[in-house]
Amino acid sequence: MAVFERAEYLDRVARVKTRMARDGLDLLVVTDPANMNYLAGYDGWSFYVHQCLIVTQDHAEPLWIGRAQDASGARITTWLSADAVIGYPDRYVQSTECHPMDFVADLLTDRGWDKGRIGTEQDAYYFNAACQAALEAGLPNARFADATLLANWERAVKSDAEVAHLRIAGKIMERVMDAALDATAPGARQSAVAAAALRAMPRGTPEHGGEYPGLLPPLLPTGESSGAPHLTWTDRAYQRDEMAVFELGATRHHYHSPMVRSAWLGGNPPERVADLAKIVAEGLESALDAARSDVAAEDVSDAWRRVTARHGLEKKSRLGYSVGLGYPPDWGEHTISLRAGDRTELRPNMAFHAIASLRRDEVTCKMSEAFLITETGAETLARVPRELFTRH
Amino acid sequence: MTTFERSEYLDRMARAKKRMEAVGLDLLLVNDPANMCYLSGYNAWSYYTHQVLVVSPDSEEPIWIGRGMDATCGHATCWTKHENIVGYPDHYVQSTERHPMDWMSQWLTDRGWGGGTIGVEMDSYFYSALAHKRLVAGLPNAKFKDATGLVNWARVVKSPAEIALMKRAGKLVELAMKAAVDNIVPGNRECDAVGEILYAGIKGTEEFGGDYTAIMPLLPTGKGTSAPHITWSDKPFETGNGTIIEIAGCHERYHCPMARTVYLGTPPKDVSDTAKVVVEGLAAALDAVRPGVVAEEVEAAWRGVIAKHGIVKDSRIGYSTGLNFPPDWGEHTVSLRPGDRTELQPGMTLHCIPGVWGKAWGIEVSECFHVTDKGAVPFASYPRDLVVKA
Repeated sequence: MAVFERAEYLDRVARVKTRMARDGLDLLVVTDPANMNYLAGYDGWSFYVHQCLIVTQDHAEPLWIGRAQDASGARITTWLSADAVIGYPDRYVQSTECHPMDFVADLLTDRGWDKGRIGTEQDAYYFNAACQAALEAGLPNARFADATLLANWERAVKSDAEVAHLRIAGKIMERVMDAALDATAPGARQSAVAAAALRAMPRGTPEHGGEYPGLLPPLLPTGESSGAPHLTWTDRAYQRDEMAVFELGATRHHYHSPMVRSAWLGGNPPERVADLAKIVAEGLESALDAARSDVAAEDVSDAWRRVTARHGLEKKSRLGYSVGLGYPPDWGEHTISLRAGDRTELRPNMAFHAIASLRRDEVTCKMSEAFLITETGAETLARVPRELFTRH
Repeated sequence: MTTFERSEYLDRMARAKKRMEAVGLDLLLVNDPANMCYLSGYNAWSYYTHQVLVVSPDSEEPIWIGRGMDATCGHATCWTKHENIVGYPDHYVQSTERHPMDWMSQWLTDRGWGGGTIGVEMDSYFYSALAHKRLVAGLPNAKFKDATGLVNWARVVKSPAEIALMKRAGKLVELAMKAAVDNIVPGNRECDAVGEILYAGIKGTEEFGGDYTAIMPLLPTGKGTSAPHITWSDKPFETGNGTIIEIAGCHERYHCPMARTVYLGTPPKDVSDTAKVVVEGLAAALDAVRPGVVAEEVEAAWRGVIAKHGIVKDSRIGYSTGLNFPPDWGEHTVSLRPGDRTELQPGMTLHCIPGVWGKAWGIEVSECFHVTDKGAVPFASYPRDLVVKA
């Protein structure tokens, strides 16, 4: 049973077809798992084998093509009719002799869809160089165009039904962050904190369970490594007088509310660290104040940068990005970035994750908010105090 | 701090370079996160941006190239000198104007590595079609050759240090499986059981904790047991249903997977009979394992048992496993399936996971083991029978 109404999926497919027509595409091969979920509802941990959706102008429903043993999962989770779900035989799986995209090429040829202009998501995860090579070899009469992000852009503005899931994800995040903070103390193993956070993610709230986030493991850079943003964890015990950073995800039906907080361990933070945290919080708040309908994405990062510049500090990487539906390895949508030069106009029902992070004297302090653009401004999805925590 | 001794990494590099030479490669660009970790130690959740490990016969150490902000993760986890951790600027990240591979092509050219025959992992998860296209455009003097699987095959036989990590993973999966069985009870939500599985496997023992697994817990239940890769929902478990539990323990990225099947209530006769056949077939497959036997003979032992009970099924019942990152804990090398003539050797580690599916139910039982001179030695110890909970 698909998560949304059939009408919502039909609307999504129609919008993607409009973009296809604008870009002169006769057919689109969708491989990004989040895009496959968006258009068909498909949900399963099967993206480790090749699979795709086929969207064409002359067919109302997309076709799902995947490994035969996953076709039953497609029948359970998608809104598609039974004959739109097609499985390829197991001999195509991880074989050195044939590639699943050979099967896809043959199928397109059988249906007479082997001519014209075909869009592929050439920079999407899982659509690798071998996929493209197999399609090009199998469809010599087709022309190929890069359609990376075509469907992603349709995901930027959420429906009210999607927003409802984002808000639930925010409620789940409040519990996830609580669980991580509760488990943290000098002497506690990092792995114990990861365990506590990961237990809270699927457990969700009494009313709503959660799933696995796109950035699947909690990211727990600590102490000397607090500036290494994508370290996961080890069995090392937390020490007194060090910074612990928590970058965590919470999801409802794969809609994300991520959050970062930092905690100083073992006592009150030194004044310079407390001061750094205040700048981070102030900068983040001023970014949130600037975020509203009709401003450009870079206006939000500018507001952050004005605060940090006043203190002689700078974050080199982008402040944030569009979020929503996502699968590992990422929860970002790869469309809008909150960074200088991105002039995308913000619209109601867009959602973002803004990560404020500053480093001084070998200490990194990091805080973030996931927020929704509303008619009147920005609404944070989770309510957790925006401050440097202390854990004793 | 790295997981293994420097000498072990040097040995891995030497074996990778030997394979490169055998297939005529002047340079290898490694993209698979597990292969990158195997050769360099690199271990961070950053493969959602483009990154590669450069292996050249001219350099003793591999060179990590990735996003600038992740160079710190490289310093923290790689065995290499700092100069061999190279970051590209952030404006290459998810940009429509420039691609990280443009930067890398330039870097390789500057280093004098822009020509010759370059191996790329064409069918690895994160080596995108565009990454390849931009690399080819950026290195017009190079010839490209598919090197998918080259490093994977070097990973197949594990060192004693790797086996030690998989034994720890075996302890962790025992804890996680116990949590799964304890929490699959009528009225409890699937998502609550998953929370407890993750908690138990990562909280670990007094001595050590766990790592995130490359596949999330798969808990197909009821009719969904026919759909093997459904994860979980927030619906409560119901009496009169079976649930397949497919999970793993993981320690420092090394996995020990395990599958068991639970039935709530009294199972119908066809379910309990089939469960017995699967357990018997798994035992026969494990008994067939010893050095010198080829992979397909292990599958044949399983097939022989199920045929005796009237079940006919040709399929892959297992694969090589060990070090990995999402989305898969399989190594994409040895398969226990008809046609795979790979000779088993001591130190190989495989997950044997046979299953039989009816229309509305499925049974899976598995063991992850290493090949020793004495045969298959499982990493974990957990009863294999269908778990029946009244």
